[in-house]
Amino acid sequence: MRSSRALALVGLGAGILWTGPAAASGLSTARFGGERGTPMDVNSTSIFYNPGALGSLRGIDLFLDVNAAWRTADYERAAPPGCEAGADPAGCDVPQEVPEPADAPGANNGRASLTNFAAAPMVGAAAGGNVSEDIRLAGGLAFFVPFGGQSSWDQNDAFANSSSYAGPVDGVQRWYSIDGILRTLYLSSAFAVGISDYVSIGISGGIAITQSQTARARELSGNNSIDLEGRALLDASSIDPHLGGGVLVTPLGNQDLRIGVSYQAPTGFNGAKAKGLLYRFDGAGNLSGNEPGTDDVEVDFNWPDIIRLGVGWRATKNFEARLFGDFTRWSLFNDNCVVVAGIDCEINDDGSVADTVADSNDVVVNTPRRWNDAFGIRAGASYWIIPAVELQLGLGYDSNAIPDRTLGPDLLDFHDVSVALGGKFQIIDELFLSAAYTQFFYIPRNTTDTNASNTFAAPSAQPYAGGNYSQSIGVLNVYVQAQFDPFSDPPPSTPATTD
Amino acid sequence: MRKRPFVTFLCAGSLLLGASGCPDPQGQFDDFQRRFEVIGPKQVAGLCLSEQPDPMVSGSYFFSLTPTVSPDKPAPFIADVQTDGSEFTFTLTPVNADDRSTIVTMTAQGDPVMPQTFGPFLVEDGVSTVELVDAFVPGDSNPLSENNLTVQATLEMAFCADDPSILCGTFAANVTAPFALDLAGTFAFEARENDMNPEPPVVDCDGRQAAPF
Repeated sequence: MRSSRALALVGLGAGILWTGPAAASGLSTARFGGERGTPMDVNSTSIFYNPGALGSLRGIDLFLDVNAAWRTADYERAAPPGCEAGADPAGCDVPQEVPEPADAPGANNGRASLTNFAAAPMVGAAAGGNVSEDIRLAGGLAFFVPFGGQSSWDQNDAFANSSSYAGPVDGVQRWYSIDGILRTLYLSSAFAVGISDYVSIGISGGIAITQSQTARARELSGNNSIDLEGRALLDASSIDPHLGGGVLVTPLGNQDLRIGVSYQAPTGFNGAKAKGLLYRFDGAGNLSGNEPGTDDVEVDFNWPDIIRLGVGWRATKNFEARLFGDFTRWSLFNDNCVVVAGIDCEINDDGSVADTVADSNDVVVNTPRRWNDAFGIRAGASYWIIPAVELQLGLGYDSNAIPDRTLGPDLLDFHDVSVALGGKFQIIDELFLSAAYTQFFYIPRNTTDTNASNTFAAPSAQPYAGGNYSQSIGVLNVYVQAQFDPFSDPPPSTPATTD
Repeated sequence: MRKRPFVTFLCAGSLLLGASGCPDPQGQFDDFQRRFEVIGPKQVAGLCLSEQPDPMVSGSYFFSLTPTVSPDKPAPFIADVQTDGSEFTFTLTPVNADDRSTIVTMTAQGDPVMPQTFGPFLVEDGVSTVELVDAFVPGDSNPLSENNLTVQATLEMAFCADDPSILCGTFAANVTAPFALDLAGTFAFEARENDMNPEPPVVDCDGRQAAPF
C-alpha cells in the first residue's frame, strides 16, 4: 500500500485539466439570458444574477435558454534552450524538462490545437405578485451551468502510427490536458420581496453539482519524459450548497431606471471537495509492471465568489442603455489538490505539502493555480424598431485571472473584448424569442519567459508550460421566454416595462 | 494535426440534444493503454531493459540517487551488491556529496554512520522493485541540505542493455525525518574501476551525468 501511494504521490495523479469555452474571466460560463442576463433585468435568470430583482416580477416568467459555443485554441511550445530534441539531458537544466529523443522531435514541442463545440442549457421559472399594496413576493427555480466546460485537443498526426512511442499522438499539450470536462451545475431556488415600487431584495440557494473527468499524460516524477510517459484519469464529483443574494433599486418607482447589486458566495462556501477515482497507468515509468491502478481520492475545487453591479436606463420609449459588470474572486482558486479520500490538503507556497498534513503521502498530486481576482464589464443597448422587436448591441471586456507562471493548456484565460449583436422578438403577447451572437476576441499570450509551472516542489511538480497561447470563442444564445400574469388584469407587462 | 471529424460531428450533433460537448477522457485513457501494450517492448528497450538482460554481477558499484529537484547533484553511495542471479542484496555506504570521494563515517552531530544492508530483492525479467525502509542519508551525503534524513524509498530498477555495467531506474521516496518531504527522481548503479573517482557519475537510464565539481 505504501508503495502504491508513494508512486501515486510522485505524480501519476491528475490535475484539473479542463479548457472550456469560458465566456468571461476564469472559468465563468454564465451567459444565459444573453444581453438580458444581468443583475438589473427581471426574469428567471435573476435567480443567479440577482435574486433581488425577482421582487419586481409581476406574473409568471418561464425561461428556456441554450448557449451554443464554438471554440478554437492553440498552444505552441518550443524546447527550452539546451533541451532541444536529441540534446544531452545533462545540458538541459530546466526543471521537469527532458529533451525529446533524437527520433521523436515534435513529441513535446510544436503546436497543439483544438476545435470544440459545446452547449449549455438553462431552464428557469419564476412567479411574483403583490400581496398588499406595497409588498410583493416572488419565488423561482432554475437549473444552469455557471462554471466550467470541456475540451478535446486534436491529435498529433506525426505520431499517429508510431511504433516507438505511445504517448505523443495525444499532442504536445497532453502533459496538461488531453480530454477533459469540468463543470458546476446549479439547481437553484430564489425568494424575493418587493418593498414599495422602489426596492426589492432576494436570496437564492440550492445545490451545486461539480463534475470533473479529465485525462492527461503523467510521468512518475512530474517531468515530460516520453520514455516514461503514463496516463492519469480523474473522475470525481461532489454536491455542495450555494447561496446568493441581491438588491434591485428602482429610484423612479418604475422599471425605467434599475440599479442592481448582488453577491454569490463560493460554491460550497469553503470550496467543493469532489470524491471519485483516480485511474493510473504508469507507463514505462513503472518498470515492475504496467497494470493500471485505481485510488479513491478527493479533489479540491475552490470556486470564487462574485459581486455584480449593473444599471439599466430606459431613456426613451425606444431606447435603453445598460452598464453592468462583475468582480470575481478567482484568487480563491488556489490549488487543485488530489488527496487520499478523507484527508484535508494543505499546500505550501513552493508546492510542497504543509506540515499540518499528517502523512504527506496522502497528497497524491497538486496542480498549483494561484489565480488572481478578475473582473468583467459590459455595456449594452436596446432599440425597439417596433414594440415587438428589440434590437440589442453589447460590448464587453473581461480581465485575465490566470497568471503567466501557472498558465497551462488545461485551463486558459486571456484579456478579452466581446461584441454581441442580437434581437428579442415578441411572438405573441406572452411569448418572446431571443437570439444573440457574441464574438470574443482574446489577446494572445506568450509565457515563454514567465511560466514557472515546472518550478514547484513535489507533489506539485509538472512540466514547463510556457509558450504561445491563443483562443477564439463565439457564443450563440437563444432563449424562449413566456411572461404572463394570471393574477391581475390587465395581463402581462409589455417589453417596455420588464424584460 | 489530425482532427477528429467523427467526434466533431457528434459534438455538433449533441447541440441538438442540449448536451455540453463530448470529450472522452475515459476513451483517451483506454486508447493509451492499448497503444502502450502494442508498443511496450520497444519502450522497455529504451529504458535500459532487454528481453534477455545480462545477469546482474556481484560487486561494488557507485550508486547515485538523484532527486528531480537536484538533477545535477546526486546523493552518492558505494553499493556492495551480492546476487545469485535471481535475488540480490546490497549494502549502501554513504559518500560525501560535495566531493564524491570521501566515505561518510560520522554525522555532523558526531554520531557514527554505519553501512546499511537492504534486500534480498527478487529479480524477474531483468527488473526489480526495491524498497528501502528507513534508509539513513547523513547530511554530508544529502545534496539538498545538510540535514540527516531518514527516507522510505521505492526504486524501480532495470538493467541497461546498452551498458550492462549500469543498473538504473526511477525512484519515489518520502523523507520521514526530520520532516516530511516527498521526493522523486532517478538512480543508477555504475560499475567503475575506482569507486572513489570524483568524476561525474551516471544518474539515470538515459546515461545523463551529474554536473562536475
